[in-house]
Amino acid sequence: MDYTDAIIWYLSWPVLIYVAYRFVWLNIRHHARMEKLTALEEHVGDTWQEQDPLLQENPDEEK
Amino acid sequence: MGHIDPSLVDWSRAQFALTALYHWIFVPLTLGLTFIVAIMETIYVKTSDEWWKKTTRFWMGLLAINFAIGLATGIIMEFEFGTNWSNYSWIVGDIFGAPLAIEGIMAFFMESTFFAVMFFGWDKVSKRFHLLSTWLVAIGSNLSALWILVANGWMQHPVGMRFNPDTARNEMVSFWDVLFNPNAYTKFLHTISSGYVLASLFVIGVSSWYLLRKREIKFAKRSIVVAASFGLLVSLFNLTTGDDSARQIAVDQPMKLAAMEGLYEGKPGAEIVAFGILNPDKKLRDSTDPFLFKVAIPEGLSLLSYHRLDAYVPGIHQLVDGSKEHNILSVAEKMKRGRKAVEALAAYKVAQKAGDKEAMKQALATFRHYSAYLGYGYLKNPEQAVPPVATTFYAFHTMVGLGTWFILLFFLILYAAITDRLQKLRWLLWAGVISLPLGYVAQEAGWITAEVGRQPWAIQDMLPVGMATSNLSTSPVMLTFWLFAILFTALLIAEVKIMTAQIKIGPKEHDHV
Repeated sequence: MDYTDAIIWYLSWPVLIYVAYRFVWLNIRHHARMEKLTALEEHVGDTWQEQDPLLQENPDEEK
Repeated sequence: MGHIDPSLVDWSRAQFALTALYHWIFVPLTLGLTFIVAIMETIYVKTSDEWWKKTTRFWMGLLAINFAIGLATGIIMEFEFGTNWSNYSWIVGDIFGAPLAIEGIMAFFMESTFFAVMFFGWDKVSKRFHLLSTWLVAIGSNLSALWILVANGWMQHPVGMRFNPDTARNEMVSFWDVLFNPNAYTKFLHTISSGYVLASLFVIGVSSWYLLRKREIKFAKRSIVVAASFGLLVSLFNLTTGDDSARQIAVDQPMKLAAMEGLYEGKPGAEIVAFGILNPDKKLRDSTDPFLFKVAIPEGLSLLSYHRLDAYVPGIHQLVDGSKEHNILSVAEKMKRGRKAVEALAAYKVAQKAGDKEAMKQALATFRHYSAYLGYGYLKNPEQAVPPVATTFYAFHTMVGLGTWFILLFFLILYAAITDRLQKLRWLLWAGVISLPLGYVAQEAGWITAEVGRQPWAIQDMLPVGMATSNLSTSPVMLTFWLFAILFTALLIAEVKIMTAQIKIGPKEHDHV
């Protein structure tokens, strides 16, 4: 009996868990950013982008 | 083996099916929720954000309730092998017992030990040791499943053993053949990934309910992102393992595949039924159309089973009556050969008692020649080799249909969650809530497909269920069936009530931070 297929398939289990963890991490970070943006919009209104110097094309000029 | 009352066989089967179906309500959630909790705790340790600790502890509480009740049903099932299936345990205990013993010694001890640390060890052990314990619980519970499914895979496709005519038992000759049995790894991966799907649906369902009630908004949204991300990946993996499992079934259990698809007449380029209603008047060997209605994909079954559009897939008629063209032996011929094996075994015993070594040698040679058909020697008629087609067909199609819906659901929910639009899409939240019970339906349907589809065999082609039971009177089996039915239902009601109460309280009461 050739065990190659079985070994490859069994090894896919920890790989799946690791990839799933990285995928969750990626999405949760993105979601956290979205949460912050939503919170900013709620507190400052939709003009917050104009008020944030980091989001200006030339922040020095704005000053 | 003496005469066994057919009603005893039916009651023993009913009791085992009842225990397995109830057990399978609790187990898949444990398999998946342990990993979801471990991922949440990893985020907590990595970010040191105490909010993630609160989230982890809430889901861990629900996991603990489920774990405890799942344990009770699992232990009863293991005892039933001895009480109700002692012939089975005698004939294959040497092989079947090994993975079960490893499960008890290695995996179960591991998960139980670290479960205590995981549940009671908050603030008593270091953060990292606690996280390690949580991951070990997740790995341990899944390793438990591995050994159980190695045993189950062996029943579907027995390998790595040799029949000992002196003891009338099968003995293991290669542990690695049993562990690396294609049926074992496909079953393991497909089963655990379906458990991950259920756990993801569970987290999404509960969190969606919070969002619909406008409660625990941040907690629910973040939990949904974790569960939908995890669910989407594992459900896609589940799809690939399902495909691999179907190809394995086509090779090892063609009758199960034919029943899964309601395929009576085999053909090259066989279609796959996406949706269909079986004709209840269809009988074996008549020319009635097996379907009242169907939507089919041409050549789909050939592609699924052999990865070739023109591959020949045998139907139930060919598998029962044989086909010279496709080199398929009829069940009647297999029964004839099986009876020769049974007779040769009996002759071997007689010769052994008489001390006639030459006769023993001859009987053994005959037995070895026909032993591949041994199980068929115990069938009463060829029709007995056909599993219940309607149950297998509907269970399989329910599983596949729901599995496809879950992939779509995970994708939609994840997209809505990461773009922070989930609260506005109330229909999607309702779909999340409704899909929670559907997850359980899919789990049970999968298990029914696997087990009903391989009837009449306790061990494929080797031991029919009728020969596997203990020689008991029917009444104690009937009595314990009803006792277990009441007990398991009470446990299920208790679990649902405790969980519902915890969910209604919400994560706030778990906020010890």
